[in-house]
Amino acid sequence: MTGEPVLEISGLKVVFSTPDGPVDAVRGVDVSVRRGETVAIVGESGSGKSQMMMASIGLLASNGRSSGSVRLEGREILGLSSRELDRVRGRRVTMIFQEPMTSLDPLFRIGDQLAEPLMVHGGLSRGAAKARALELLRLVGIPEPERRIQSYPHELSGGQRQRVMIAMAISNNPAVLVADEPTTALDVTVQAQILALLADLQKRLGMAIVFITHDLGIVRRFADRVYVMRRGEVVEQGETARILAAPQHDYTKMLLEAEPTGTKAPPPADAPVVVSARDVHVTFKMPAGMFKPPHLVRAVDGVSVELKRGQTLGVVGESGSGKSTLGRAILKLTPAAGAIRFEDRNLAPLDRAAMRPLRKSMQLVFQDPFGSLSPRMTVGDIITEGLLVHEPQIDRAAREARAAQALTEVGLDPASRNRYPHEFSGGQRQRIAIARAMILEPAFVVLDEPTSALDRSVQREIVNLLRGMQERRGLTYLFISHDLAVVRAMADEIIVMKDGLAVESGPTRQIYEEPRQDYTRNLIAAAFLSRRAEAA
Amino acid sequence: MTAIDGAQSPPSSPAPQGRSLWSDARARLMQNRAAVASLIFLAFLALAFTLGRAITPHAYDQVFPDYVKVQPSLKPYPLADQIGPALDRIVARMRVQAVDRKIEGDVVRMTFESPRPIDERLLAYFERSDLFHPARVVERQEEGRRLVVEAPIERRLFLFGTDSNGRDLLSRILLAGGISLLIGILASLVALIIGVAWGAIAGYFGGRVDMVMMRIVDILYSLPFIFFVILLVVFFGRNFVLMFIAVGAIEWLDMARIVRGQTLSIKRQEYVQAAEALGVDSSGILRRHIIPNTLGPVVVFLTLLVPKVILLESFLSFLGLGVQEPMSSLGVLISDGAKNIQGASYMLIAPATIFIAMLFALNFVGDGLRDALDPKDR
Repeated sequence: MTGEPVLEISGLKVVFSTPDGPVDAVRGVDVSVRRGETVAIVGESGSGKSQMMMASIGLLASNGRSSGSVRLEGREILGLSSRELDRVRGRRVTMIFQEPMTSLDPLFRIGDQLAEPLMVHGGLSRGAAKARALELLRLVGIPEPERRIQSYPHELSGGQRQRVMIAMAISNNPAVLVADEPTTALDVTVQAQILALLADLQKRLGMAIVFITHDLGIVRRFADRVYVMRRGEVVEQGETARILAAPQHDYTKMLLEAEPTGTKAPPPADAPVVVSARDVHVTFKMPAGMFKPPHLVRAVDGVSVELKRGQTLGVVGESGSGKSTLGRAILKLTPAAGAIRFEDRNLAPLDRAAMRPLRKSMQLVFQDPFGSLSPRMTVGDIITEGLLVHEPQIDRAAREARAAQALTEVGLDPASRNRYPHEFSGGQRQRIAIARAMILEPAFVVLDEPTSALDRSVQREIVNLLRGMQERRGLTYLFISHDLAVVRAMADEIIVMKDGLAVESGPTRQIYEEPRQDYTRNLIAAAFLSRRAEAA
Repeated sequence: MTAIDGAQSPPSSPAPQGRSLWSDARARLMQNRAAVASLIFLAFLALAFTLGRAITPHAYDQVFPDYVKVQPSLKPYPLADQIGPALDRIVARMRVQAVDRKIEGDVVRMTFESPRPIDERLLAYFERSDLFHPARVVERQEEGRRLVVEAPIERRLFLFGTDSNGRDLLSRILLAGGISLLIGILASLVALIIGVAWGAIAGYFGGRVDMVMMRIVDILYSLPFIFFVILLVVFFGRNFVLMFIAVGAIEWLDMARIVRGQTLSIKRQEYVQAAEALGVDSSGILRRHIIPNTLGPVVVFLTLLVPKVILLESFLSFLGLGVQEPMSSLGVLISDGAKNIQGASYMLIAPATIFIAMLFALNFVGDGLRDALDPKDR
């Protein structure tokens, strides 16, 4: 891939002024992007990879300052006034973001949203802009573009919205497209389609793509060159094949090895059944509108599970497949029909108050380590809240001791128990959430995507922590995830869910090696993009 | 706890205190100059309203008939040109003749004459006047028909002037400001307690409970406020406590709606669901999770509610439905001032200035708090 550089970033520094003093987000980075090539910028959260690109095109938050040089097609663009920048942004360099839900204005039809920049930047007439918008929608592979052009954003799925964003980004034939984690918020199968679309568009339009991601699987398949960033600095750069085959820097090696590995030893065959749920149904009734009758949504439609002591059951599926609802139904946090038994008790007839003593033995860990901890409580109070309920006889000092012990067990400093959740990183917060569940010494824990919001290297630590605790305590896990790499490292058996139904189930090995359903095959293929590329 | 029991070590080391969201917010508030200046000003006002009355020389209900509607002045009363007419009045009441009068510094020396002996008790007229201390007979001549009398002039300071009944306006403003602020804070607290409890319960339990509770709020909303207050006054008579109840009973409605809205979004948060999964009962969830997390907007609303309540109270007092004489509130004083705007405009200007400055400061603090507590800042 030869060609003159279209985007040259040199010596770029970004400093944020915060109440706690200045924070160096980017500390002097050199990146160059040639015409028509794909450059990936890889790093974990907090490495400054997004801020670097935001600074380059003048989109820093108001407390950020950038210095250095950014040349777009030979012209210095750092420090341009926002008026001058507007002539460049959206025309020569465009950006797509992680969150397609919030990047589109919910009040405008997507046709109008597409046409507006064409009229403003491209100087097209209304009719010509409309025609071009239709052409763009066709180009990004939206089905039935003539109908969709009249739709509002909420009528589109996440993947379709991201396609619209891409259509907007390429509408003025930019020289550089900056894609900031464009597939992270999407289901794995949709991810693969979006990546294929981007690769295809690049071939046809000849633009350069700067791909910001934490996922080395995407890099492997997609990028010509890679920059690895850590703490605001580029630690390694080069051709993708070389970096992935022979990484020089320890950090790159760590990233490459960060995929959760190993499998779990199966529980003994004679282990007692801890939880069994037969024919679980969860239906949500959508209330009748003025003009439409009420209708039922079957979130979980006749799923049965059985978990033995020490076993981990993986529940996989795309978003909306009902896997989280199944977890909650088994814990009786969502009203559900079906026979649910815990140890020797039938949970079906129990109400909230009657369930309360059982909550000690059945716990739940959430996906979002930012939302699942109350921001106004100290970590110690969060962890020991369960003790207030289930062991009210113990006093404050004893609770503190238990909190310290639980924190130590999940690998945190017990002295941090008087701090507040916002002072911790995502991985540390997830450890706190795990400590909160484990302090009650439960027998059964539902893990609802506990690793999905975390960096790969942190995921691996959390997986190891969970497996270690399971081994020591003989815990039973219901592990819900869309990430098949993690599920493989955790689960003995797997159920694949789609639209509330269990479409496939069996031992982990069997599901991965001989998937029977196309749906399962797609999930696996999308999750192991990297492997497949390697094999090819 | 099997494998780790051995490793158990009680944490004797003191754990460092963390930075709570509240302390962050406090730090941000302290950077807001307008808010800090307003806080200092409010603290000064509160101090003046409580301690200031002890320092001012006149009680709030002390009437000075000789000083009706005197202008604010830095010089103590009586002014030089007031002494003569006042003496003339006294002499006229005593029905004697003043043959000589000299003003020497703070003492008036007069000589009275009368065809009959003069009763010394008549000198009480000096004492009754607000201008003089009791008079003293220096010399009796001609068997009591000629009297030389000395009366010290009583100097009084009316920094803010006096009102139409001759009461010291400064003392009255200090009293009125204190009462207004007290009503503002207490009625807001009443609104806070009812509103937060009501809104949090309605929002958290949802469903039918929510519907019934919020319909009650809607019904109360539809009551005309003034009509409601007049009804209360008719039934219970005019009463200081009634003000809290009337204002608090109306203002908690807004608070309940705000808290309910907050609660609806907070109860979807995963930490609430986590607490449910831990088996925490409803009151624990409300106390530990929901209410603390609604408090940000509530505190902001509260600081903006205090000036609103003060305004409401002033409005009611202005209409004559509020605080009764001899007590006073800023609304009463402003109402009085408005009646005397011709000739004694200071009676309007002084309380209105204090009132406006207080409302400004409260609003600045409210704005500062809103900025400090805004979670988007994080």
